[in-house]
Formats: sequence, structure tokens, C-alpha cells
Amino acid sequence: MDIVISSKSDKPISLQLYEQISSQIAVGDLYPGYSLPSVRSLARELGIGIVTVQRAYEMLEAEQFIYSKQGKGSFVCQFDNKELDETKKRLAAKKLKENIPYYKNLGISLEQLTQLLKREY
Amino acid sequence: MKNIIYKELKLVIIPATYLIVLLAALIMIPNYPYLVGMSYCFLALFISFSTAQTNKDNEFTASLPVPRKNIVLAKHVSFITVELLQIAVAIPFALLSTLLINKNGNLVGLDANFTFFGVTFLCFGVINIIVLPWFFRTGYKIGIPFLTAIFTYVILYVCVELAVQLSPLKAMLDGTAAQYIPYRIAVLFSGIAVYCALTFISYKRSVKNFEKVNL
Amino acid sequence: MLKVENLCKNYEYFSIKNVSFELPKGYITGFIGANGAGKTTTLKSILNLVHPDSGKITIAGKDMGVDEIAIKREIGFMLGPVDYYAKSRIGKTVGVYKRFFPNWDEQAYKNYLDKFSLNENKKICELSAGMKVKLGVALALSQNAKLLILDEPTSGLDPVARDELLDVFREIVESGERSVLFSTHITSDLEKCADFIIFIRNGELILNSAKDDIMESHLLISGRKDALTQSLKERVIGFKETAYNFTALIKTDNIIADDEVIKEKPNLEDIMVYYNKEKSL
Repeated sequence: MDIVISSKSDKPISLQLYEQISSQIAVGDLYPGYSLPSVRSLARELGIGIVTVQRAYEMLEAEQFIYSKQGKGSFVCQFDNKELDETKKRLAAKKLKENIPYYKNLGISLEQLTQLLKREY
Repeated sequence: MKNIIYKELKLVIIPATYLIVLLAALIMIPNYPYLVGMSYCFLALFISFSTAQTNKDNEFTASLPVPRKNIVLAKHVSFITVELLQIAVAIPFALLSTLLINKNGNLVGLDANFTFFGVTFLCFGVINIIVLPWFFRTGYKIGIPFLTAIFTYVILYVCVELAVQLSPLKAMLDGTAAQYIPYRIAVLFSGIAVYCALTFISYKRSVKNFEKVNL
Repeated sequence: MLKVENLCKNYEYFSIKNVSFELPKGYITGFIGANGAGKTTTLKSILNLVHPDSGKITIAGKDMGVDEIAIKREIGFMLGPVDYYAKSRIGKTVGVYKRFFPNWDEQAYKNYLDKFSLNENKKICELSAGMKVKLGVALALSQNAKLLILDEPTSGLDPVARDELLDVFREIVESGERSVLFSTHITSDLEKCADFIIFIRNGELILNSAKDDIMESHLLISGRKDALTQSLKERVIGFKETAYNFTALIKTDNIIADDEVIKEKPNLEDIMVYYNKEKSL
């Protein structure tokens, strides 16, 4: 598991954690059944607050990336390929959505944006 | 309780105290105001308490799980210990002085007899009741209370000496005449009683004062 | 772990007004406020070193007013770097100190000395500021304290020593059994390790919640002077105006789409500074 935290970023640290772990799960770097470090040890290792890590884990759990077993820790959920596909799409959509107001602000139409995406992708 | 007393004796009371009290040997000097010889314990206590103030003893004490009344009690125990040590050390010198060296008596004050020790107890009690409750208004300032106490102590001693020397009871109270020993012992016990009473009141007042202090 | 209810303490020119908060077990809580805001007085009141005029302090289920001594045997507190009996060897002073704590763990103490490279034969006056703090922390930890209350442990330390100390705090709470409450005005220390923040101003509790919530519920905004409309002025917490622009702190919920401002994530320092510029002041 790789986690890179930027405290200078405007993005809350819990969200940074969530994004990085969820995308690693989506691409399969973190495989189903993988045992995540405990909240407290991860907080200590990363030098961030315990609550911050708890929040990230809660988000991951709410989106069914991980599940936790009382007293055992947190594990990556089982996915079949279809689910994994859906998840990837969900993540991608989320990321796109974040930037839509920016494009709208610039006055870029949906067509222009699609063209741009095709060209840049 | 024993821990805080241990702390006082180990950290606050300077080791030199045990040498300083030996200055009670001055009682052997012929024609000398013997109470001077009994005063060195206060020099030791003063140095100890001032050093403790410099050493931030109050901060150290505040960091310990000890009730305030025990802090007060421990300081009283320190005083009593050093004072009694002073008196205990003085006893053999007093015997030497009266029985061997100064057989003809002391021309400038009381002989080192039971009366003298009674007066000593009285004076020590007065010091305690002045210094300690005053000290516990802050828990660390010792200078002014001590100076005031020593000043009072000297005046009191001079007054008592004059009273004895000028009173018709001088023959009974001063000197070493065997037939008056019971009178002198009576003075000694009165002195001890006053000492105990004053020190007890000092403790009570100190606790009251110290309760109000913001550490 | 620690519960403070309606703490009041009046002085002639200053008072602690009805401060209440609760410290959960297993977390680091930062206690912030400007100089003179009442941090030390609050901590001393919690420890009954200053007698509160009213209020109730409960630590691990015990009432401070009743069980002061029992509580103090089970918590560690440090109201300043260790500098008592500075001319004595550490070993001598600690030898006296440890007698007061029935739960003293000599092995743990030796381990902390090693970990902090403290030598018992040194005199306290020979230690650097950081070492004095570490000695205090070592003492508090060796008495098996479940709660550590520290007043300004990081002030006066260089960045390296501060970072090391914060790491010690994180290690302390890692097991989930021990809690740390520390006051500071170096807010960046808290950004790195605190879970909860208590912020007092002028003896009054202003904020008391999870650090992440505090950071996410506030925005630092800036813009041209004419963007600071009357409506915006009423919605911000506090603002600074110059001849050319303005900056302000605002609750995230209070911003509206019409506001022509640049939004930034504030840090705790911004939050502290702008709350001290609050309009009502």
C-alpha cells in the first residue's frame, strides 16, 4: 500500500487517504481480503490524526471498499469483475464531477469538452 | 505522608545543617549569651528554605500527589526536627558548660540550665508561629517572614533575660542550685508546652493560608 | 477520560467562564488560545492547583474534588519543563519523586531514559530545553499515567525536538489506552498530531470538536475590497482589511455563490487569528 499525504493541499487529508486507498483497491494493488493496517498504527506511521484515518476508513466502508471485523481489523472487500468495473467508473465519475464547475465557468460546452478529452486522453 | 517528609529531609534540608547545629558548642564559652548558640539551627533552616526557593521546590512539590495539609505538615516536621536536633546537640555542651567549665555561672545571662532550655522552647515556638503561617501565604517566599521572626526572637529573648535577671525569682530560676531544680523544671515544661501549642496553632493557620494559594 | 463541567474561576482582571469539555480516551487533544486566554489557569484548575470557584472535574470516573490524590497518582502532568532542583543529579530528584507513585514502573523509566538519551547522572541544569521536556514526559509515562496533561510542552523547542516530541505523543496514544491533553500556541504542532481541538479565548470556550471538522467547517476567503459587502461582513467570523484587499474567515456553510472571493483551506493559526478578530470583540 502506498500513501502520499500532502498537508499543503486544499483537499482534506482524510479525503486524500480515501482516494488513494480506493484507487489502489480498484486497480487491484490491494486485493480482496487484504488486511489494512489498524487506524491507530496508520495514523502513527503517517504522522496524522487518528480521527483523520478513522474518517477515511469510514468513507471506504460506506462505499463498500473495505469491511471491518470487530477486533480483527479492516479488510478489502471481495469484488467480482463486474463490480470492480462499476467501482472504477464510480471513482472516475466522482473525479470528473469535481472539475465540471471549472469547465462550466470557462464556458466550455459539453461537445468541446468531449473533443478535448478525446484529444488529451 | 512519610514520602513527603523524606522529600523534605532529603532535598530541602541542606546536609550542612547537621554540622551547623554543632555550633551549640558556643554554650561552653564563659559569660556568653547562650541563646546565640541555639540560634544556628535557624541559619540552617533559612539557608535550606532559600535554597529550596531557588530550586523551585514549590514547583516540584506541586507536581507530587500530596494533599496540601501534608505539605504543610512536612515543612513543620522539618522545622521541629532541626530545632529538636539543635536542642539535643546542646544538652551535652550545656552539661559540660555548667558542671565543668562555667561553674561560677554566666555573668551575661541565664546559665545553661533547665530554665534556659524552657526559654529556648518558648522562643522557638514564637519563631515557628511567625515564619511558617507567613511562608504558607505563598508557599515559597521565606525572606521577610524569617527576618521578622528572628528580629522578634532576639527582642523576646532580651526581654525574657531582663525579666529573669531583674526579677526577685532570679535566684530560683538562674544558676544551678539544687534546691530550686523543681522550679526550673517547671519552667522547662511550661516552655515545652508553649512550644507545642504555638507550633500546633502555626500548623492550623498554615493549612488555612496554604489552602487559599494558587500554586 | 477527563470531563470538565462548568469550570469558573474569577480573578480581578480575568476569569474563566463556564468552560466545559470532555476528553475521549485514546486521543490527542490540543488546547489552544492566545497568550493570556486562560490555558494555564484552566489546566491548573483541572489539577486543583488553582481552586476553581465552581465546576466539576472528573477524571477516569473519579471526582477531583473528592479523590484529588488518587487521581494525581494515576495521571501525569507537566506545567513546564522540569527545572526544579536543577543543580542536583537527575537520579537524586527522581529517586525522591518516584516514591510518591505506587504504579511507578522502573523498567519503563529506564527505557524512556534510553529512548530520550537522558543520563541519570547529569544535572537537570545541564539539559537542553527539549531534554527537560522529555524528562518531564518520561516521568509522567513511567508512573503509568493513563492521562497526560502538558502545558506548552513544545514551546521553546526547536523544530527537530518538537517533531520528536510529537512522535512520542503519537506513540503514547497508539494503543488507545492513553490520552494526551496539551496546550500550545504553536498550532502547526496540532495540525500534525491532534485529533481534537479545544480553543479558548478570553476565558471562554470557542471551539471544541474534532480537528478535521474544525478545519473543514471553516474557509479562509480573500478578495477585492468591494467584494466585502455588508452581507458578507455579517456572515464572516472575523476579517482583515487593507487598502487593496481583504481576507476573512467564514464558516463553510455561510458562504454563498454570489461571493466573489478566493477560497482556501485555513490552518489552525488562521482560525485562531480570525476568531480573535471577531466582530463582537
